[in-house]
Amino acid sequence: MIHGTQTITLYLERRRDTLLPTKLLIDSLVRSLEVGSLYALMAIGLTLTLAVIRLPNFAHAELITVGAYAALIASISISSNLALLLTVSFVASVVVAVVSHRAVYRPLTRLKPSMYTLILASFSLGLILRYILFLLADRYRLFDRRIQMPLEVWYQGQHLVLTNVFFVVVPTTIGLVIGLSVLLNRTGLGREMRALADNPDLSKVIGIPVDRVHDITWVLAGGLAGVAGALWGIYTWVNPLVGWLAILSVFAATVLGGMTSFTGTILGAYVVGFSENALMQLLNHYLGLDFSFKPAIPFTIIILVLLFRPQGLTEFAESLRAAGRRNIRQSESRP
Amino acid sequence: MNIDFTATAIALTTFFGISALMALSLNLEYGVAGIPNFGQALFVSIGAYTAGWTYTRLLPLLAGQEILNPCGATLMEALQLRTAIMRQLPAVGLLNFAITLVVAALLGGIVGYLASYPALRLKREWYLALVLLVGSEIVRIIVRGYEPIICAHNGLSGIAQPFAWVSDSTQASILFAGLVLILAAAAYVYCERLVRSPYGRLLKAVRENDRMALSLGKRVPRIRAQVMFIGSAIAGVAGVLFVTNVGFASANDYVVALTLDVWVMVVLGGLGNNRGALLGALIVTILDRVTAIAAIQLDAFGANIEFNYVRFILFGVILLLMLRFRPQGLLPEPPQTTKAHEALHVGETCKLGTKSRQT
Amino acid sequence: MSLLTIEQLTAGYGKLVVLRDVNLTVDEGQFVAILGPNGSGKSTLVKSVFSMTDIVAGSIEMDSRSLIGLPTESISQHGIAYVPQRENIFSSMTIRENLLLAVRHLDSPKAEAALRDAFELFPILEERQEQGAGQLSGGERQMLAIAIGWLARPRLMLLDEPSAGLAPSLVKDVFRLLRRLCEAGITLAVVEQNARSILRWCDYAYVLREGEIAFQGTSEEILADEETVKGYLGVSPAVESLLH
Repeated sequence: MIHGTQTITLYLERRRDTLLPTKLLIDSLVRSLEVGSLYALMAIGLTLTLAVIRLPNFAHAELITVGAYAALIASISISSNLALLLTVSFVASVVVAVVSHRAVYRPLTRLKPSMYTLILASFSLGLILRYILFLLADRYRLFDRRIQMPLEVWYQGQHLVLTNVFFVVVPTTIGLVIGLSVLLNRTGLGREMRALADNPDLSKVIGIPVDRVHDITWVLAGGLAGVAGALWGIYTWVNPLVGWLAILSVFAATVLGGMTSFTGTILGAYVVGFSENALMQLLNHYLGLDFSFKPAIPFTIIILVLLFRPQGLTEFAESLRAAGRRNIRQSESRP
Repeated sequence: MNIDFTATAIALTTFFGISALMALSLNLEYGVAGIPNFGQALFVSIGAYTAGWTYTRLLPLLAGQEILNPCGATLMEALQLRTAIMRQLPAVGLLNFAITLVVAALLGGIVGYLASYPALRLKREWYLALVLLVGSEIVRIIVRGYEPIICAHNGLSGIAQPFAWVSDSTQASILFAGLVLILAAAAYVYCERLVRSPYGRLLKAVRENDRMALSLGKRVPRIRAQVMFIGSAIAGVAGVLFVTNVGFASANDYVVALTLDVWVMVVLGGLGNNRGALLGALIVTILDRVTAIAAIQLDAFGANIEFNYVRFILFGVILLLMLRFRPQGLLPEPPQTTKAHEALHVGETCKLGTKSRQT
Repeated sequence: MSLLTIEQLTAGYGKLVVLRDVNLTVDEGQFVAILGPNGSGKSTLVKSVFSMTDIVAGSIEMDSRSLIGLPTESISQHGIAYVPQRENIFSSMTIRENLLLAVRHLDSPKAEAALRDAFELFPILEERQEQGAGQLSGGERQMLAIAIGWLARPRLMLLDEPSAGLAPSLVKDVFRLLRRLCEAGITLAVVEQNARSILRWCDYAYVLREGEIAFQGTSEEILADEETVKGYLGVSPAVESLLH
């Protein structure tokens, strides 16, 4: 039930004049939540590199794929213990991220290149990584494999079936997202990262160690992408294109976050997840829109937001954060 | 295994000509005028879709035949009909082809002109790169899902090249290769004259320094739109040649990878240099062929390496090395000799020192 | 005793040379103004101290230690703070976060104590701690920028046109504050176009013109010789202060 393609073929023939069946609606909402969570995990890393390093990193896609493959290989050769898989994928993607920073982006940035040069470089790097993965997958027959984790039904209601995958993907993601928000908003390191995103020159002037903060940013961006890749592999399947196929949806989330707001990015990720699943289901059922148009949804979001609302959801996100701050202060003042 | 050298040479020439058109187009847009067209595949695809339309609607009409639906139950009949016309009625085939070229150029130009519009609204300049990239993917997804254009995901075959009526197939492909080369040469001469004209210097001014270009007032957006029109028209022509060369139109050919190939050509050859664009196109075409032949040969030896993958890795490595160690390309942009440009050059180096270039 | 010594400095951006053979000394405890018309290279001079320009020749020494070639982010360790003219605060963050960034090397209780000290000097910032720094008015913004620099407890502060864009009454407030900082033992080098106003507050001034030091002297000397100043600054200081 979790897997998109099955539901698509099953329900395509349904008549459109009837109400969308509750089960289908709930299914698509659950899927929205799962996919949105995964996009959030992927998009935070993208926003981080974009905001702190000023690099639209299209090779972020391959950090996701590397994580997925690391988890897949670990699950085949060692065990499918969740903590192990997530750790392995985290480490693998961190290594790739830091190496690409040190070997490619940092030397290139010293030449003071235009943004387009950086975009091209990230495309090239992504291309190289993707097709190395293709070669490996080809050699060891690792196409379209699922990470070995037996499917169990953990909850069964009248309209709702939740498997262990749901209880792995959603809480892990939400936990990581909360952890990262705390890091960014409540710690010195997070402040330094945001300072660098806000005003790199002034950051240097007041002595923020730029190289170190950049390294940590890459560790976070890579690690989160890796974990997201592993979870994606548990949720669906692994092939060398998983990251590449997700990356523009992830960009859509970042664009909805106004390119720099982390809270906005997380909200954006759920908006994209919802649009691609629940909204798509509704459009299909009531307007007859074919599921093959689904990939166009995040693209349309990107264009519309960039053209008409470049700040994305930042204002909304800011008001949420301000409300959060007020609540915290109130609770602090009332012991 | 033997390689047919004549056929390889003809194919190479044809591919080179088509690639050269795409590269000249992007060089004009990005190399000369600084517009980051990351949607080049879209403008090329417009040529392909135009051909898909003329070969299935216009061609039977010109031949006085009934127009059949090319996708559904009459798929085979329609295919046979257009193949027969292309084989037996040279005049109709050539006329149809000529019209296709003109329509594709116009259509590509118009879409390019419109595509420059977002640049006016975007908060940051590089967002245009993202918008064009994503826009090209949207169009591809729509074409892939919407039957009337090129039969959705099935694609459309039987888009014969205009010399299909020549009985000797080698001769036919030589003629076609010649036509492609002539068109590429014409585009080169046109671009070269454009770049060397006062208008070309204006384009470079727009690229080098938007603040200076601001003093040109409202003309900047218009100049960008004009360049996009010209560049995309050339790309549209390239698309027609591309699709008639392979004889098959499929939305899946016009993916980001195609755009990236064209970028490799332009960055490799030298941004802002038309000769560089030609050189880049030549190198990429040869590498493409060499890797394809190597793949076949290795396959014959039973080697278990998919060479297509190696090709992409190779292109990625080339692009990275160029950006890092020779960003000006193999053939750097020739310096301008006017005094006005010298003054501009000082302004440019000054800008490089500050962070304004990074936004 | 001289704190900052700049000798024979030639610097600019890329191939563009802005400063030529500039010599400048700031003594410990002094309030030095660097004057000159637009484009004379004043900002380039202070940016050079922070390795934000391309230095062709010459030396820059803080406390007899050379700063040339050091990365920008390590200059503050030498006891120098720099308040840029524009974009001198983190406008997407709260005022409190801006100040905390300035004391990032201190532990929490010490940082709190430092912030309390800052609020005494800059009372306006205390009540608005949790507000976004981007919402501040021009004068408040400048105060925050100076507070960020001051919190690093520098021995020398470089300020680039702290009065730019401020109303005359606010300009006076800023200069009065700077004088207070100077009396508290911080050495100051302030770039200004607003020559006449700052000459009432500073001890010594350099006048830059087209990248070279055209004139220097105590503020009394310069004020006394208004004709000279007019000549070097191109416009009379009174007219200038109206313009800015």
